Amino acid sequence: MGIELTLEGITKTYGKVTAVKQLDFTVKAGELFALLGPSGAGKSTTVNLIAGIEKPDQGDIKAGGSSILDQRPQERDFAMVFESYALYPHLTVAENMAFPLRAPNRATRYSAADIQKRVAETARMLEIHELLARFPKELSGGQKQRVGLGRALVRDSQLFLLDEPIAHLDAKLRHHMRGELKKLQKKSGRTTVLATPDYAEVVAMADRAAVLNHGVIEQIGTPVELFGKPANVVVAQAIGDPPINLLDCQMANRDGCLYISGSGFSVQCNDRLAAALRGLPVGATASLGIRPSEITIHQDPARGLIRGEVYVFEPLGGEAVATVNVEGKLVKVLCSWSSRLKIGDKVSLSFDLDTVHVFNRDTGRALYA
Amino acid sequence: MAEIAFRGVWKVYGKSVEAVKDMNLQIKDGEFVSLLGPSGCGKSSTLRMVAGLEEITRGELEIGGRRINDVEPGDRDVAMVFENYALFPHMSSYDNIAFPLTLRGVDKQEIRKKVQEISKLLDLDGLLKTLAVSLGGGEKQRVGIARALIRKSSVLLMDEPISHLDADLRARTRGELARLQRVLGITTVYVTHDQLEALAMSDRIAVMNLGVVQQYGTPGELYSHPANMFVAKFIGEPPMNFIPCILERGGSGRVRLFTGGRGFDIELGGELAARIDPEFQGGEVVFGIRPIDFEIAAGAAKTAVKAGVLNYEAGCEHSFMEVKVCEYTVLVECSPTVRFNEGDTVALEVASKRFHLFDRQSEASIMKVEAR
Repeated sequence: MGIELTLEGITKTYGKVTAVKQLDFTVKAGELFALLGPSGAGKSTTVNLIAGIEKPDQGDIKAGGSSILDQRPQERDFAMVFESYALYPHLTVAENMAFPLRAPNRATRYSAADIQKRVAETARMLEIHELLARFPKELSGGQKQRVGLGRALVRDSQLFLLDEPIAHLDAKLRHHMRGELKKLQKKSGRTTVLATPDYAEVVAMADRAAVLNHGVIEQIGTPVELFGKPANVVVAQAIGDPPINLLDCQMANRDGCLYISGSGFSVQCNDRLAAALRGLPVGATASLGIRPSEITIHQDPARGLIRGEVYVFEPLGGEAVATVNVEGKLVKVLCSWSSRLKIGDKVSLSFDLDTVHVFNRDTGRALYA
Repeated sequence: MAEIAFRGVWKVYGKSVEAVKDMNLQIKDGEFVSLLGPSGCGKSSTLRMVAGLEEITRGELEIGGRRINDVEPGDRDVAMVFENYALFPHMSSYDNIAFPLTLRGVDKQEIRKKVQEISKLLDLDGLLKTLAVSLGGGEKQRVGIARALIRKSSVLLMDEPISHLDADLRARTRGELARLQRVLGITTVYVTHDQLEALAMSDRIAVMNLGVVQQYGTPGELYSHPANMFVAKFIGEPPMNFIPCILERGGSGRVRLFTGGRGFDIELGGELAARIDPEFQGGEVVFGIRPIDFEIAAGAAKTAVKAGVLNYEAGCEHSFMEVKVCEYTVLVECSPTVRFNEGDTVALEVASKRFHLFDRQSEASIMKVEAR
């Protein structure tokens, strides 16, 4: 069974660079908790701090309620998967996978038969059972990554640390591995921390996630919360592809009704939006966030709320991304391929006010989500 | 005018390494054509033959109606952008862009005018004094393109120009590049291994494998009507699912598709059966369906199959599930609002949208051309 993991006020600096700052979060026992952020956000530093490879400057890390800061990595005994595989080149796949089970100073001893059984089972799950006799140099990148995963999964560790574990796999295998990893994690009930820059992976696998940016946690929540109710602009931009559109807007009072308007559009607020924005001074600029999937594009320029001109149209297979120039601001719309728009086409856009987000333009904080 | 025509073009390295085999391709004036395929498929060799960096072993290559097999690279009126930009690091953007003209001894005033023109188009005005070494990846790319375009060549050649940019920048540059090409109307040949890039940018795509063009068509044709299993697999992400089965023709134009195992046994009638090439009598085929083309069936339709859910993967815009159909693991894209659990059984409608059939031996499509 997994253990509970807590980070309390963790800060780590390298020289003058602060890698992570005041991290506070608890990963519940048996939970799959993701660290989501672009490269340089502090994900790997956090994973290394938990593993004991790095020491924090400040703060405490607790596993199962007691501090583990004084424990060396091998004492913590967390199973870790690196993006860079880190396989032993002179050992076969089977030997690589069995390696942690044979390590001399582990608490648990495994019999030869048990080792063989564990390696075989894990290899089958990862679809590398036909590669067991090969050496790492005879494997593709995706295969190496799965061997790296296998080496971590083969033993009973209380905590799994996965640092971009499926980044190098092709699309089909990635979907397969997401499903398999999640299933395995739930079945074993092992607490797992997953670092990834890919929001789709987080949505597919994580129970909860922390969005990291420049070493700071922006928001912690379930994937549904992060997507539907982002606390700020950074979180809104971290989830969704293409990323959320942000348009400058102002509040205006006309005939007793509140309007939200910007260059190219003016929309009457519904009650909920009006209530949320009441505190904002009239004339103040805010940021209107609309997801590309929540916008409908009309070939009739008079039909929608915002008029624009097609800047570029990119069919992507099943669907397409239309980029629309709205008075100098480019807005992305996810639409059907069959719309076959051309550069320069006059179009209009509409959206439902229930699906938009409004952010304070200076602080980035969400006013309405 | 700058159409490009390949007439039976071959590239053979040494005695027997056939990199490009009997290529026949027409590229229209102003068209954006991608050469798409895995590494080693011959796409870069093809581009280099157009550029004049490789000799043409056999066949004819024409640009604007002129045979260019023996024309020097500098006299072919083509400009090339390389993956690594090949900028001079300690020269400013201005000097890099101006270089091809400076080299030809063009008048300084004239150069200034042209550099300003092109940098406006590529939004480089503010970066002209910056040294190439201090530019960001996307900026270097734009300077590289500006330098390629300054000579007003009639053909632009690009070899994986954005493949090593990070995902965000790649998506942005992709759109910018596609737009720029349309605005300039310059005939463009673009080499990439990334199907999404090719679909997003191209007027037409030549899918290549092992030196042979597998299919040449618009993004829509390749996606909706793949000519063979290679194209079907290569275009679209996640890729098409394949289920090997038997095709049997029955009475009144009906077609039965079934596997040995239980679970996949469907009957196509009327319109659906009529999509299949009537020349194909029956036998071993491969049924192909994209993850996005399934529908969850309500009743017991004759074109529905029962499938057991192996995995359900939640998503914001799309959800996915892996299901078992006979012994095959099949990926299904579904609406994020409907949830399934491991162990559920679902009925999948497999012919409501689009399905594909291939001859198992030749791997060629056996769908009628107009239906393909």
